[in-house]
Amino acid sequence: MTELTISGFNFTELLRKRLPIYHKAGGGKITLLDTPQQYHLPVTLELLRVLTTEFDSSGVYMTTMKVYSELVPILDGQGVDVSKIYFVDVVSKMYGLEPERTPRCEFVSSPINIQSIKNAVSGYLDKLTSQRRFVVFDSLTTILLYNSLPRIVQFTTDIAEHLKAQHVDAILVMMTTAKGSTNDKLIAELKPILDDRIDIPD
Amino acid sequence: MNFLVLLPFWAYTAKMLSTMEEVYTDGNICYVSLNKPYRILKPLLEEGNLHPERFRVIDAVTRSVMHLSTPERNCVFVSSPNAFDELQQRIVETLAKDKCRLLVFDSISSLLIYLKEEPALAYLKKISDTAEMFRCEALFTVLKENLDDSLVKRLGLIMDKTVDMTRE
Repeated sequence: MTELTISGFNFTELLRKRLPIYHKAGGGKITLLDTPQQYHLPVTLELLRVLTTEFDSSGVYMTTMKVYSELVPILDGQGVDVSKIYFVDVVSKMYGLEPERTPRCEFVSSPINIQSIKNAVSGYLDKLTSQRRFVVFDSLTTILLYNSLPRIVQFTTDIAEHLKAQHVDAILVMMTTAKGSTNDKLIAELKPILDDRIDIPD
Repeated sequence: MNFLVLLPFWAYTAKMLSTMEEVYTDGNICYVSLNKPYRILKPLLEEGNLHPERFRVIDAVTRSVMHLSTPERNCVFVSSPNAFDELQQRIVETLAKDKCRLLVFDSISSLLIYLKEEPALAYLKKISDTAEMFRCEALFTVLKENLDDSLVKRLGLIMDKTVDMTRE
């Protein structure tokens, strides 16, 4: 079975150990996944692969990384079961694309429009039939580039409460940035709502 | 001369671009974007009293997010925002070819996603030196709320002047 190891750190094994614990506890756990930018893509792909294939979960994936049309073949090629994922694409429209409508993906106008992101994620939750449900926000760091810190704290806190109430796990992907940056401040502000934190070593 | 420009979060790009054009009335402006795709910048350049033909955009974000099928006039694309050598190369080529009066680096806040503080400062110094080599002024934007005061002070040390546009 494929495993993702970074600098001697077995990320796949860590996921295998931690994710079942959440499920046994009833779900609704909020995890911060902080990764150096250079590992962002492989870490995200592996996270989605483990969630959809090893844990048979279904969920919502909010992407600022790639447009939906290019993302799906990449996920498919990495063994992610895309049939178990609904997408919230925050970038296609910002880049001026006019994507074809699909029931699998909601296209939000831009990362500034956080209310639409929240609505799109919430709208898909009812469609998830699996016992284990997840939402991956990839990434809060990018969303933060287009929004103020208080707005993102409010957005994340609101949606985390909503997901907890619905017993849906959330993984907040962030990219390690310089000390003193807003990214650090955001992590500090989010501490009260976090159940777990995974730091990928540099 | 290089400037650190502190910006607020909201809708400031258009105002910043028009201010730049008012100050730099002649010559071209090289705009390095680490966070806004050219397709977002283009309408901003075309609106108002701006002269889009004066802008040479180096777009470092679009290619990492989507495949590009058509080239754009007055814009070159870099493979990703963290392709630093490639970005530096495109800056050199643009400044050499298009005789720019001003280089705008947008933004330090974005750079700090890809580089830690020390290498980021070193990279900014390199960009600043490159601009100086081509007798071009450089303007580095940063979202003020994105940084704490100590980092702003350190950035101030490698800049000639700090302009706080959050107070306007």
